Amino acid sequence: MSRNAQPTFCKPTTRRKLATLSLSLAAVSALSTMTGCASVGSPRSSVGQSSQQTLTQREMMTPTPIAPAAITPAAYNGVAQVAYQQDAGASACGCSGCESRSYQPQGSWASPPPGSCLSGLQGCQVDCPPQNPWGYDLPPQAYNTYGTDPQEFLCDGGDQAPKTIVRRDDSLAGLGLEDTVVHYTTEAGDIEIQPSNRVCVYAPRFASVRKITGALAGDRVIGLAGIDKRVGTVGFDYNEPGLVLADSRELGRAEVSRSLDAMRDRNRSVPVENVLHLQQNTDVLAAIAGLKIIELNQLRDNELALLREAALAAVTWSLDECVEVEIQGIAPPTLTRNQSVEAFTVYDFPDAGRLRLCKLADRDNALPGEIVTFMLRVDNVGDSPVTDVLVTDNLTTRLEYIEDSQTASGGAEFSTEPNDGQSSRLTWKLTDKLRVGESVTIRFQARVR
Amino acid sequence: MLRLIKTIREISMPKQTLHVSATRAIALGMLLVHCTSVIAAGPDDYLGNQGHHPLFTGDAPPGVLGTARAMGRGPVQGYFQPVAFSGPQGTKFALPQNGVFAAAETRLMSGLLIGAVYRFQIIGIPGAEGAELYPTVELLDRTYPPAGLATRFPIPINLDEEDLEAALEGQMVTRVIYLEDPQTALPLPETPTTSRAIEISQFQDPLEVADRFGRPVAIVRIGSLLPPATPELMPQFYFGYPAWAPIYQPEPAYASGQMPQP
Repeated sequence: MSRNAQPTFCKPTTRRKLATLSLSLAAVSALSTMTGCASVGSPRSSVGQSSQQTLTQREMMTPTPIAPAAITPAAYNGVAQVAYQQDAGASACGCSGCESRSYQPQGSWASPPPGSCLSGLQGCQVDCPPQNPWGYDLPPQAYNTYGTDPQEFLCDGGDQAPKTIVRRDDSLAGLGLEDTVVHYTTEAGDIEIQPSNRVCVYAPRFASVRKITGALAGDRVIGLAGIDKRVGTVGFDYNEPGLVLADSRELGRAEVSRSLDAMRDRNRSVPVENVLHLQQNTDVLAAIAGLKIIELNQLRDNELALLREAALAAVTWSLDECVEVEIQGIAPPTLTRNQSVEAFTVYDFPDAGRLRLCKLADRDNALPGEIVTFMLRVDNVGDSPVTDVLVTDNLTTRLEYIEDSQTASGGAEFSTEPNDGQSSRLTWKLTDKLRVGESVTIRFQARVR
Repeated sequence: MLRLIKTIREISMPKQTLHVSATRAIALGMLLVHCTSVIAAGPDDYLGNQGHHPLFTGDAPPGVLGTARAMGRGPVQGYFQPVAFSGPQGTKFALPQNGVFAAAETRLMSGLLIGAVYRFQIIGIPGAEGAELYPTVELLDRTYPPAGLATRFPIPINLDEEDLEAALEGQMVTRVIYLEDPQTALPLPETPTTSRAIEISQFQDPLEVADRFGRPVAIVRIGSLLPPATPELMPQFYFGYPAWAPIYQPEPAYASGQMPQP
């Protein structure tokens, strides 16, 4: 394989786009299925049944399988799945079945097959065959039209609009939140900008709006009164049960318990310990570092699944972020090796000096407070050395850079500054010229807010 | 002949005048229609953002909003959305089944149906020993996690001391929990049990505010101090005992590391 080979989970260069390849998440979803789901028929996944006795929840629940027992039980599953079913042989929509565009030798793109996802919006599209979103047990007619909610994901990387440009003073303009770009100077003196791929981590965060009202009537809360409702409650069915019940019995115990005001004041200073218990520190990047694509820039068949998992959902959440292969120059590309049926296609084409910027994350989901390790890898995949390489990562609001967590395999001047999202803009300026075939790997950690 | 032509012209003059006046009338009418259309109220005047949600209000009776969502689009019917309860230290939560509460847990997790109203029990309130609260939770929407992550990312119902104290003092607390938009997220460090809330006045609609910052997913109403003593009122108090699915926490053996995590 030539040194110009382009694995498709990265998003190389500028100018002419000749190929758009997508990375399948089938392997990722398969791994998640094997590891994160409990048996459907196990006692943990049952609907609550009634009981007249005061028992614990586990004793009260009679196992009632929601879905057919088609899933192999995962050993030592810590949290029981509510209801889970994975269609055998059908990957999650937005994966291999939905992204199978193939390059034709005549130089044109084959049309996506019927039932593919290429005509829609996000990962799972309207054209997909009806199937359960993310493998949950649902009636067959009620499949999710949208597949997923992109607002539940935390993405970083790429270059969102407006496009990033370099000013005369070598500063960047148009670098929005979530953007990660590298710009460099070629031998010809051209300044090029290369964005990275986009990495998305499932990290939904919830907040709440609170309203406290003090409407009282006979020691009973009756809800709101006196609020001007211009529109809204006219059409409501007030036959719905309300909060107020007409119970003629007087309050007994509660009145007594509410009189303990002194104790309440005394214990008011009890601190609330919202201590985050870290579950496990996973450092998948150590495994990634052992991959041949990282060490030797060689693509091995037995590493494809790991690469797909590491590249996360970078290519499936939105079509705009599909991993692309772009080349410069006029010479047509030559297909040298087709690594697999659908996901990886390696091209060899002549070009000038140019960089490839890959961004990987060590996990695909994170709770608030957890740490995500990112890795940026800059490869000179061109034919000439480049200079003045500047890697910039503008972290989004919900990512907080952890001080002194960055490392670089090559000489680099690291700097950080606050950005508009009250997070950090990380900058690495490589001190050395990046020759052909050379690469620099940067790692840093960020805490999910 | 000339006279005849003149006569014809005289005769035709009123027609021209009539034609011109009709044209003017049509133009005037169109002008009036145009002016009227400018003045006429549009849908925004009725459904505009007047501090309230355009279609619903957070003050609706329990069950109205969730039922409307359950009848809408998407795979929301029959889905047990994982929900996690948490509160101040010592607080325990329990869900009922036919009027009997199971053993209360400090970190209760369960799968709830969208559209149903669940009344749960809070005991062990710090500073109010012996007191109980019976709030309701109503799911408005669900999440769409990747496979296997549903129970790792439940909808958190995190209550704090202020909620419980206000309810014990006889006030009504309405919390609308929403999925925060990452584009407008506040740069505050949080944990899964953070109970941060946007405080609004009683003249604002919590549903509208939550809809502005994200996607509302649940409403919690805290105010009831004890269930009715009359048995006939129990089904109404518990909203018909809707079904829910239990979700169990990791066993202590897993947490202590004696057994490998899956």
